[in-house]
Amino acid sequence: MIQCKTSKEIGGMGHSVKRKEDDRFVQGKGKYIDDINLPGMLFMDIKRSPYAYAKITNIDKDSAMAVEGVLAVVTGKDLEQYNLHWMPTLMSDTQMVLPVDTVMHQSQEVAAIIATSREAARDGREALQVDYDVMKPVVDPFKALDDDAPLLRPDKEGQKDNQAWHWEVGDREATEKAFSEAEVVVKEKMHIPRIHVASIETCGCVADYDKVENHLTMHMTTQAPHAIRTVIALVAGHVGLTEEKVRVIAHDIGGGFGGKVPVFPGYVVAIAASFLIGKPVKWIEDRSDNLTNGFARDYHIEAEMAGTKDGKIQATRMKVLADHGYTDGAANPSKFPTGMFSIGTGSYDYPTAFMEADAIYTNKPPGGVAYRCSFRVTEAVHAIERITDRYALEVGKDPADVRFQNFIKKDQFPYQSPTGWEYDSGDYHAGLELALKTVEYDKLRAEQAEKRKKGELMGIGLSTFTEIVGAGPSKDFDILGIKMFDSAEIRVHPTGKAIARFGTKSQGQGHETTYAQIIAEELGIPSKDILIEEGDTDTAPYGLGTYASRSTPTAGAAAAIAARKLRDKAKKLAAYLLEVSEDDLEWEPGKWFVKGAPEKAKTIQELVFAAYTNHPQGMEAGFEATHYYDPPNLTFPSGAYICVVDIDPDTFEIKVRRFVAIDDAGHIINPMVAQGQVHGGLTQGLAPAMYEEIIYDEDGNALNGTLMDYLVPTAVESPSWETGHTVTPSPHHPIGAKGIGESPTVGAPPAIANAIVDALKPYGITHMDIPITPAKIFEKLKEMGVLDKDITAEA
Amino acid sequence: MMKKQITLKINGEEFSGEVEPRTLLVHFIREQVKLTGTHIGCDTSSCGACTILINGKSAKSCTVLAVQADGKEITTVEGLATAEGVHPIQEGFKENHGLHCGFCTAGMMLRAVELLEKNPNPSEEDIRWGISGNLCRCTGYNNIVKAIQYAGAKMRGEETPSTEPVFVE
Amino acid sequence: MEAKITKQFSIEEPIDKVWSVMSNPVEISECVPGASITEEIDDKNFKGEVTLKFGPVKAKYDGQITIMENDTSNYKLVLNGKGLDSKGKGSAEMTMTGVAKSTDAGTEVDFDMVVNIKGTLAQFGSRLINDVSAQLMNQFVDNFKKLLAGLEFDSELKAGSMMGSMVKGLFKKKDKSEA
Repeated sequence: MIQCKTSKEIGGMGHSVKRKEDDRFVQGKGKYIDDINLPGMLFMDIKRSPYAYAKITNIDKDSAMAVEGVLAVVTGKDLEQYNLHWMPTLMSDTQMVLPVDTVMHQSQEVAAIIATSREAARDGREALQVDYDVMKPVVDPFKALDDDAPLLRPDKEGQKDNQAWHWEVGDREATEKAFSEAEVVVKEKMHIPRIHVASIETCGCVADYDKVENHLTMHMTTQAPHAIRTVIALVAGHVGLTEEKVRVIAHDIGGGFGGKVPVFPGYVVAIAASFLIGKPVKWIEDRSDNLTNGFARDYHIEAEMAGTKDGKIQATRMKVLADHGYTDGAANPSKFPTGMFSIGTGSYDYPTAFMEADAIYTNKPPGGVAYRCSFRVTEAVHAIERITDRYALEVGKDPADVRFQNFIKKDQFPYQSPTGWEYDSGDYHAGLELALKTVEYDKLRAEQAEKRKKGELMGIGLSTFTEIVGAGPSKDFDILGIKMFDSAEIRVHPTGKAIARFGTKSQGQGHETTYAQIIAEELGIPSKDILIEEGDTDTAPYGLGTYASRSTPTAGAAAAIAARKLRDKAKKLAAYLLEVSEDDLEWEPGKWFVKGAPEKAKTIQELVFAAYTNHPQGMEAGFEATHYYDPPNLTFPSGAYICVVDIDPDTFEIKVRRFVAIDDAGHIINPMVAQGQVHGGLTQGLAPAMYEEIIYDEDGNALNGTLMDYLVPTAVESPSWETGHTVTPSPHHPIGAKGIGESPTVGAPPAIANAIVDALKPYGITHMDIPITPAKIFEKLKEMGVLDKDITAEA
Repeated sequence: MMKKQITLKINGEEFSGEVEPRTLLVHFIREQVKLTGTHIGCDTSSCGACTILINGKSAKSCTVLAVQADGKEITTVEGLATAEGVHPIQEGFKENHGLHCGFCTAGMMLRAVELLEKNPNPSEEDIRWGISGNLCRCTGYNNIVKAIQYAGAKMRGEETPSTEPVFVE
Repeated sequence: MEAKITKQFSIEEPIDKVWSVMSNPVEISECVPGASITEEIDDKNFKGEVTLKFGPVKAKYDGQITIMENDTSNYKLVLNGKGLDSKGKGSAEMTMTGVAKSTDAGTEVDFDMVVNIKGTLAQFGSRLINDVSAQLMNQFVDNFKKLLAGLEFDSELKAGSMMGSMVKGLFKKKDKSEA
């Protein structure tokens, strides 16, 4: 299945090359944000609001200034003098940097304390007295539009209620008609709860403003350094920090998953503090600060499916209430307020769909940036995969059969979806067949039937999803107006070794290894000889960063094309050196040779050397190429996942017995790294399915703001994942790759939820909201009055 | 605040310093000894990124006061490799792709070192329970288990298992 | 976040004696573990402080206690205390309703307590609030009985022992179910 065109020595695509970055990581030599220490550096801590909604009546700066080592207390009023107290969000909403008078969510930044040590800054935070007039917050998004709900955003012109925006796609009338005429209609209400990426490293920065040079170096945990530089220039250009005066450096990042895309107020305050004081200022979030700021998901979805009695899907309809917190702080492409939610028609062939969403302001933290997912794909996939199972149940068919019956067929690609996407390629049948064969599906169903007779709870869940990644084509995709291309620049040195720089930024994905493999594949220079550098805006070409599984689809493509430009140059050099016509040359990885005379050849290293020492007159010297890749379409990875669960009939403890994930991400660059991404993504799919949710009470208190209560799965909860691939290359991507890092996080939750609901089928359960916990099952059965039901009778 | 003098051995080298009584060992190691390979991931001893060895036993250094470590022998990730090369556990993590972002890795490895010392040939279940006090957000743990099995084999002087990824086909 | 605790108990004392203690704000406040009245504003309003401890987090609230209802004819007392944590970690509010009823054996007393906590303590203590509130109530009732009986009692907050007795309580439940 995975084939290599290059030798192991060259180490191009398909080789499980060991990762270059690991030598420093296993020896404790990674350089993360908190490892940056600059001479004269000061420390910043942030006082946060204990209340979800309150007027600030007084901030007694003296109370903190009295602490030894505290140098300054910065409030919203201080920033207001420079017009730095607010900033635009990536969704063109507005967010407070520090509040001037009102706090809008618990843990919101209230004031920054600058001190000579981390401890003094924390002491100052504790000592700072802030008085509030507490108001009743809007916590439940369904009540946010009630007449008596307070208007949360009177600062926004024309804002009359707590709705942020409305969005819709598809054909409303045709969908209504299809539903009214359908033989079978099913509907479920689902909540995809608020969760947090909880990367093990929190967010932080060291803002280093040089007064003499009027220059800011911003060391920070960001997945998108260039975009951040532009945002800083947009926010602070009026005080002299124009874009050439700003350098953003993202060093090693301890996990991102989308949580390090936003511009958090802490970064801006650190810049302001360094700007005002003239010294470097370090800010590192603690875990609770991290968990109670920013979030992913929080979509309330009404999903409906219409179809025939014999299992043919005819239409779907989805209605979303999106809880955005007090501002829309998401990071979607501008034209897509719900991100890629419109992929929610799934892997199935039917002509009619309609989706709409209403975004709501509440007194919760802003965010809505993905948790290892491409812009709301997870929400969409959960809805379609759950409602497909619900439909299968209704028509009395096996969920695998319903999927086979409705899959878009291999020869239907490129496929136009009813919500406007053009799926590039796929072979959904092959993926599901491999998954079913691997788990021995028929045997499992037989075992389940036997177990049900004995009152044992066993469930099998499927998820056959289509992802949409690699944003994106410039005609539709931009963030704050900047088109979502990405870039690669390759410089090959005279001795044939290279450095390549990218606009993306790895947070553990292994770019230092895999990008080198792409270049090795195209140019034949061994991947070990190619150094990869990212994250420094002074040296890397402009790019939009790493998130939404876009690195391989965009920057990976840029690397391949830049390398091809160099291969073409090498061909010219070879023709010159071998004294033949270019047409007479043939390429094999690592050398150009004369057709029919393979002994007449020049290696890439010889050709590069010639580019510096003996290039033909009229040819530009050197061996460098840059490419900004504007993808013609998105890529559409897919997967077929099967989960098997056993549930204890007394305690309802859920055990994932097996989980098989077959992914199709097109051509694979490094099977070991790709598999690692799938493993990790699966555990991050398990997490929201069974464990994670940020819970808010009616006062807007976040009730689980520590890792004691926010349950990140350990090695014990996480099962031993079984993974595999089918390979359906993307037809438009230069190396036929599609992106892999997020598919498992997207595909796993519905497979797990479907398995659990399947196990509980004898009780008459048709849906449960994630995270599904033993307590939730108990409560649900109690509420349904079936706790003591004899389920053996159902078998 | 009154400071207290402490002396301890870190990775074989003696180190003295003045600390406030409230100073956590992890802050002492990172900020005064300037060994930044030990990381901080939470404040509640939940994540294990700060795991080190104190007198050979793994401990979460965010939950130990520096003064409590006075006179003790500490091993951090920087102390795992020797002149002969990296420790088998470091080799295991690299060869088996047992890390992605690298942030939890130091703590994971030091925890594994103690685990393998107590139980040189652990089962998969032993390993999973053994590292259940350490969180990894990237890898899904499969390859961490593999990495520890690899290191175990190497430390027992046995042939190491294949590091090629296994796929269902 | 909110916790509601109710407790009913009987005392072999006449209702008038019980009521005289119940309706005295200073005395009743002394029975609340960790609470004390520091200043009398008028006969219905008092200043005081309350210390609460939920697991690792301790908060000291400076606040005001108000007698919302003091209905001697129905032997009903409603008392509200609210305060701000002196370190700015949030606020707490408690409304306690006490009703005394005369019985053959003496007096039956119903207390119900609604505790509402906002801020850091709610964030960290959510798992514990019900148990801690129940312990608070038990200790309060215990103190109240001792006060009536003229016995010494300790109005200090027994946070440590609270955790201890919760753990013991868990094991006790287990013993019982096994028995």
